[in-house]
Amino acid sequence: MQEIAEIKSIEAGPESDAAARSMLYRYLAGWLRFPWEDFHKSALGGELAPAASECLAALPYEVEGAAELIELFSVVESDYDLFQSDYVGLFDVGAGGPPCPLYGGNWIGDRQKTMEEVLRFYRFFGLSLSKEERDLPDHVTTQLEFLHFLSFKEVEAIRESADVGSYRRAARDFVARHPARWLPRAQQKLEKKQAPDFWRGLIGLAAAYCQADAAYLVSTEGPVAK
Amino acid sequence: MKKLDRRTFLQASSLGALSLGLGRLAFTLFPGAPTGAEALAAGEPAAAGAATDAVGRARGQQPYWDWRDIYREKWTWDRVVRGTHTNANCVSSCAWNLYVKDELVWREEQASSYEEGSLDCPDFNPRGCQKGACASALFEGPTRLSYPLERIGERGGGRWKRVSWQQALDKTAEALIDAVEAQGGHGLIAEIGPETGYGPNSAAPTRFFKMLGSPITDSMAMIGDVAFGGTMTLGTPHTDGSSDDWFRSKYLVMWAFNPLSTRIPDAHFLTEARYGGTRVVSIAPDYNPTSIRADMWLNPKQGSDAALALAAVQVIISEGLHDRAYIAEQTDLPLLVRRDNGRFLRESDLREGGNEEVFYAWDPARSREVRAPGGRGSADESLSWGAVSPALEGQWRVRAADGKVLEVETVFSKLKRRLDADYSPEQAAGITGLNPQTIRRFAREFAAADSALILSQYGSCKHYHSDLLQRSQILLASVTGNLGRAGGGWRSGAFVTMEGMAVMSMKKDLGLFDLVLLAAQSYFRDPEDNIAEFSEYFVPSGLWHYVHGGLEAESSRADYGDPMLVDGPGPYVREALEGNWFPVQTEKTPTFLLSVLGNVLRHSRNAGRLREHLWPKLDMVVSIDFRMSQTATQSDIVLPAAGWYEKVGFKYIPSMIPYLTLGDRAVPPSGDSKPEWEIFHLLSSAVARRARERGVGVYSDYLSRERDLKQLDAAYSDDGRFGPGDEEKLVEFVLMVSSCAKGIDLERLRKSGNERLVSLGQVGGTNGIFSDYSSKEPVVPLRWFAEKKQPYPTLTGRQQFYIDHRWFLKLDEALPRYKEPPAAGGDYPLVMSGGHTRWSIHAIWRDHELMLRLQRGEPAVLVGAADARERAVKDYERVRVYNDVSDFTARAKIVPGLPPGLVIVYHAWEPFQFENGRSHQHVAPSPIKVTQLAADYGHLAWSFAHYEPGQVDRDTRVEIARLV
Ligand code: SF4
Repeated sequence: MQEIAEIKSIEAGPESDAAARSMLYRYLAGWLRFPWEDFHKSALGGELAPAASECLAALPYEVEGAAELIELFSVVESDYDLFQSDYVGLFDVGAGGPPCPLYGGNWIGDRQKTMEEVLRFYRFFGLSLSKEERDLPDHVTTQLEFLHFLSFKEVEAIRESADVGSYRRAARDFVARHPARWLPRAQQKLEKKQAPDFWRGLIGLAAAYCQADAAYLVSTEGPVAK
Repeated sequence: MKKLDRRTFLQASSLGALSLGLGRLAFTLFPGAPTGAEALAAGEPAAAGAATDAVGRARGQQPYWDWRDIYREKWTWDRVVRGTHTNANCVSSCAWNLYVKDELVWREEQASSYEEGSLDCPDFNPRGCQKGACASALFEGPTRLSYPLERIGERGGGRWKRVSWQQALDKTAEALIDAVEAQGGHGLIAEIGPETGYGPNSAAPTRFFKMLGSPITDSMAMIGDVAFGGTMTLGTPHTDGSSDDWFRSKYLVMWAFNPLSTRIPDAHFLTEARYGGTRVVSIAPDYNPTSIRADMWLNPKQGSDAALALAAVQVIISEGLHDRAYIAEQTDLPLLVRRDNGRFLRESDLREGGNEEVFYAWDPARSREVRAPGGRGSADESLSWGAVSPALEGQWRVRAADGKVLEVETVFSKLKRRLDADYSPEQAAGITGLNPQTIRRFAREFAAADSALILSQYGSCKHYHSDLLQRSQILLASVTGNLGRAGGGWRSGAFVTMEGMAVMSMKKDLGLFDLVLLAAQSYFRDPEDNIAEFSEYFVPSGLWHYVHGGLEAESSRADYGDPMLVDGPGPYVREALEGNWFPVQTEKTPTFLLSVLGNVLRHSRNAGRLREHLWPKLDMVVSIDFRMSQTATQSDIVLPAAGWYEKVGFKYIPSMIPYLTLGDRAVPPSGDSKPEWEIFHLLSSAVARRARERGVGVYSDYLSRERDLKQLDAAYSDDGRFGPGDEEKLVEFVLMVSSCAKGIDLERLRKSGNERLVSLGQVGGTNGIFSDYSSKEPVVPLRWFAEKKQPYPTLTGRQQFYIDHRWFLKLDEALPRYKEPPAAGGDYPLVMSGGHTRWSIHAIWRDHELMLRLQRGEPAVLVGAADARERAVKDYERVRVYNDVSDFTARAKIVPGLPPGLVIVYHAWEPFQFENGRSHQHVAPSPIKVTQLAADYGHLAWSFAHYEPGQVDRDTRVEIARLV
């Protein structure tokens, strides 16, 4: 992924806490995109588990079950066609729709309302969807990238002694109202379908992480408004 | 997991001393975003120190406290675009405003943009249905296809991989070339389904296959939408007016037509007409949503409607309520028929070398036969009898060319004898289950009304004896003088022609047209030539699949069809094929099938047979679609088509709605999907390139014309005049060449959304309107005949109720009559009927969550209370529905509005929505009807959507059993 902004020499402490959170969101967003061949190579080369572990280890909280989930996504189908076809069949297409679409609105219920809300979040922070890498606003990748963005901004704000709270509260609300709400249900669906370990592991980790991050932010920023 | 401390994390990081990058996101800054927009938009990394301002919120922007803050900003739209649902075959046309934000259509709102027509009628504003109101959700929903896919593993196994367009097109091109190399134009078959519109993307597939010279299935009869009774009687199966004309009717008969469910945007004309004093009658075996709003509901037994119509005619004629002058002028009822052989008296009977297509009536004034004006062999261009007042009834003698004396009588005499013998209200009551007094009342009211209108539409086409039913309905409208009258007649559905569509579909040289527009207009002077040319390369779909799809096995069974055909229809099919009456060759079966928004494995009756029989012979099946249809699930390659809001075109123009409606591109295509024009452009280039690389190309096409694959790209693009992205240019072209849109351009349509038609376009084909047009009046079909006395496009030049083809005579169907529906599928006690549903347009929306929520959400078989009780079936229980052909499983829905003996499965569930993948279509054997094969007779000749065997399902017999 091309960098569009960079903060060098992260310092241990709040900066690295937020940086770890940011990086994990970024990894997960990238890993849950459609898996092109270079991603498959990275997965086969065992690059995912250490990257995830590094971030997890540096988080200011534990993510329950993370080790087992990492184990799961260390099991990678070696044939690229089969590997990507698992993704396509689980998340992208199928008769009557895929079993586990990666769009939050499909799980939360009112799709349009969900899309509107996430878009409002993005716009509050000056963002709109890119025309090139266009996916719908409630896609898992878009949602996790937004969380990556918020936590990146949090690091910036720490460094500049600016307002950190806005980013943390926004992240709390966004993660709690969106991915932490629907990803666990997607994970359950994959369990039920006995989906391949790799994808169960990745979605499982995303779900567990979003839930843990939501709990962490609630513990520091207070509860999500009713 | 071992917990690292923060220092270890930083050191363990691959960057050594960690730096955090903000990845290039799926986001951009929206226009006018606070700061730093340039850096992000350019994708440039921002310097570390400046990062705070590089992206996202500006300093000083209001803080975020909780999620309610995001709702404080007023929601605004980036733009509002005019749109519609171009490829939904809903027999409608509705203008919508599409609300766009962030390159997404979020909602659509009905546009009240319909210019007022007649001041005496309600206007068309606004139009729409609940499906259209959630089309944006459909196109953003989980069923949407956005990337090219290639099958992995077994066909139909459900495993797909995403491939690039290049890969998909190369594979498709390769297989296409293989098929052409092996069998020329016979190697391919195109399934262009009925989900079509007007505009470049609808013309594209037809153009592609016509340039290839390979067959395209004409699916209209196969889906059961050709009103053969119209073909036989009026010379057109497609005749209709505008729906505001319903308002002018004094007696509105919804016959096997349920517009409250299936023509939602037009149904208001019905209720408004009622407020205006119109009497509304619903004729349907079930108490449906339209019956609820009728003044009278007649519920003849399923399939017995012809007996009702004929009994009404019997009452009208026997009570002298018929319109004698109209009948004499407009119909064949005064024509003479030989009593020895049942054939019309022809000039060839009366003199050596006489014309076979000149017919006679009896002139009582001169006591001799007189030539009837208007027949195909007649020089008269008017139906007017002049000074002659032909006899309607009687028997006479005439001398034949060989000196023999021939006894003759009028068609009217024959008809009256038949009616009096077989169709008294009491006799019809025995057939239909209606009270004879109700039949009399219906007949008298119909005859007494200033204008009586039978809206028949497509439901009545799906019976085995649909032709007999429709001929009987038309007879009722005709003997009362209603055809061609404002607010009166018989209407089946018609489409206004856009000549530009035909040109784009079949003429290579498009670019020249603007230079020789005058020539182009003169080109359209002969409708018959145009229809003939347009029909080239189309093949009658039902018959084609009978031969190549294996449907013959059930469709030809004698015990599933008319018992008068002891050997079944097989010998007749053979004769029709051997006589080349239809362009279906039997020798070679294609190995390459390309389906464009077609879904033959869903819509074909007995679709299971097709899958078993045809599919294994196909080396390559390619589907172009925006959703995973049943046919797409059984394909090798799936190419994603752009959605309706993602490309430019027009809604087709049912005559019911005389407006041209723009479907504009509101947003870019989703993912990698592409408009059809572009897809076929790319495919033609890929084929031509590979053909050049392989050094192959020249072949003989389906009509034995020489073609060259290497030139396909040039032919498709008109020598490069139209590029893959030239949709708009082509839209302008279609507008320019189409008479109904004279003076209307894209810019104007973009402002208005829709425009009242300038004309009704050229008649013929699916345009059986035959009337002059005024933008200030409702459209009434057939006025050229009724008012200008122009001959009808039939053999006799008149409304032809008597068909003296030898097969019709043999089957005793020369006149309209009632015949008992066959036991299609075996001798089972229940008849399974169908009908369009309120919740989908064919299979589109059939699997959409929002629509499924409004019903039971899964396939249901509607069962009457008595039948359910008899079988101990309770509501919502799973039942097996079966007959000799196949079986399927669905939930029982117990409904009080169904008569005993009838069950209904509403339209268009995809097989994959059923347990075991077998749908209600799988049990329908669709027996073939011989009277739809007699294409060696006058106006009963094959052409596109005109005359060919149709598929039917309303006579399917089944039994149901509760599943434990
Ligand atoms: S789907 Fe058809 S009937 Fe419904 S709103 Fe769209 S154009 Fe009108």
